[in-house]
Amino acid sequence: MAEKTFQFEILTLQREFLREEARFVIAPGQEGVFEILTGHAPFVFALKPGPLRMRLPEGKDVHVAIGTGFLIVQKESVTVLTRSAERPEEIDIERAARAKQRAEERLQKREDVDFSRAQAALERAIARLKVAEHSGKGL
Amino acid sequence: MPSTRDIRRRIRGVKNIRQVTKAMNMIAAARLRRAQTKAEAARPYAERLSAILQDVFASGASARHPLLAQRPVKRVGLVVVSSDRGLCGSFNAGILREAGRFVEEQTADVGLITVGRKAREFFQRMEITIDQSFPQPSREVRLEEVGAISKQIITDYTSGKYDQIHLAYARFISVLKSEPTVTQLLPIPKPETDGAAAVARMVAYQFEPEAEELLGALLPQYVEVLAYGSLVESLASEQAARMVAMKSATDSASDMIDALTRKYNRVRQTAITTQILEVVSGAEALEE
Repeated sequence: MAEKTFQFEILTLQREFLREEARFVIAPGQEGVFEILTGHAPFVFALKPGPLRMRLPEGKDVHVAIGTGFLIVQKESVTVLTRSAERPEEIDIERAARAKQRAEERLQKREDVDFSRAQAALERAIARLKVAEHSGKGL
Repeated sequence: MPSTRDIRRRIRGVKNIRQVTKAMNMIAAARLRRAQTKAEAARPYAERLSAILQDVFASGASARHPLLAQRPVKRVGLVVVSSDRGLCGSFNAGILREAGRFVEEQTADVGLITVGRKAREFFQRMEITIDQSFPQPSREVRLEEVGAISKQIITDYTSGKYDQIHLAYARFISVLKSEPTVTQLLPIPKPETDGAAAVARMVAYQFEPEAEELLGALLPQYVEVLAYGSLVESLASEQAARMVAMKSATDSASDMIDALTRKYNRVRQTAITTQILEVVSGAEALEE
C-alpha cells in the first residue's frame, strides 16, 4: 500500500464536515467532472451541486452530496468549500425525489420561473439521489 | 401604611417575575453559547473563501465584475439587522442609533432594508419609508434564510436600485460588549494586496473556469458568507445583551424582595406592638 495520499477536507459554514487522507477525489466541476490525485498543480475549481467521491487509504470510498462551492488544490492538501454536504445516510430520498419533480415541473413550464434557481434545485436533488444510492455500501 | 397582606402579595409577585427573568437569563446563556460556536465554526470557511478571492485578484484578473463596480453614488442601501424580540437591554436601541447616524452622514438618498421586527417597527413609528423588510432568521441561521437576504441585496445592487449597500449590525466583542457597526457590503471593497502577504502566498493558482468567470461564482458566495457572519454575530450579541439584562433584572428583583421583606417585618412588628399595647392598656383600665 505504498500509494500516496493527501489531506482532504470538506468545510461548510456550519462545521468541518470531513477530514481524511485520500488517494483520490472525484468532484463535480462546473465545467465537468474531474479527478484529483496526489501532486496535482495548485488549482481552484468552481463546483456545482453533485456527487463527490473520495478514496480512503485502505481502499474504501466515501460518497458525499455537495452543493455549489469551490475546490482548492494546495501543495499538500485539498479543500472543498461548499454550501451543503451530506452523507448517503443523511439524505431523505423521498424529499429529494419530490424536490426533483418540483424542479422539473417548474422547468417545463418555462414561463415566469427563476430558471437558474430551478436548475440549481434540480441539480441538488439529482446529486442527493445519486449519492443516496450508495447508502449502506461503500462506507 | 400598607397592610401586611398587601406587602406579602407584592413579594409574591416580584418573586414570580424573578423566576421568569432568571429562566430567561439561563436560556439566553445557552443560546449565546450556541451562537458563539456557530460563529467560530464559520470562521475557517470564511477565511478560505476570502483567501481564494485574494488569489484571484493576485492572478491579475481584471476585476470588472458588476459586484466590484464603483458607481457614482446616488442612492445608498442600508441593511439594519435588529432582533424580533425585545427584553435585551439596549441591543436594538444601539443598532438603530448607529443606523440613524449613518443616514444623517450620507449626502445621497438612503433606502432602508430591515431585518427583524424591532427595526421595522421603529422606522414605521418614525414614519420613515422602508424599502424592504425581512424577518430575523431563526436561531439556526439556516443558509436558505441568509441566501434570501443576500440574493435580494445583490439583485438590488446589480439592477441599479442602490449604488452602494451597507450593513448595520451588532459586532460581537465579548459577553459584556458588542459594538453597533456599519460596514460596506457592495460594491465589494477590493482586498488590499498587501505586499508581504501577497509574496508569501505567491502560489500561482490555475483556475477552472477562468479567473474572471470564477469570480462570477465566487463573489455572490462571498456576499452570502459576509451576511451569514454578520447575522450570526448579531444573534450572539442579542443573546449576550439579553443575558446581561435578565441578570440585572433578576438582581433588582432580589433587592426588591429584600426591601419588601424588611418592610413587611416592620409593619408586622408595629401591628403586634399596637395590639399588645391595646391589651395591656385594656387590662390596666379593668384593674382600676
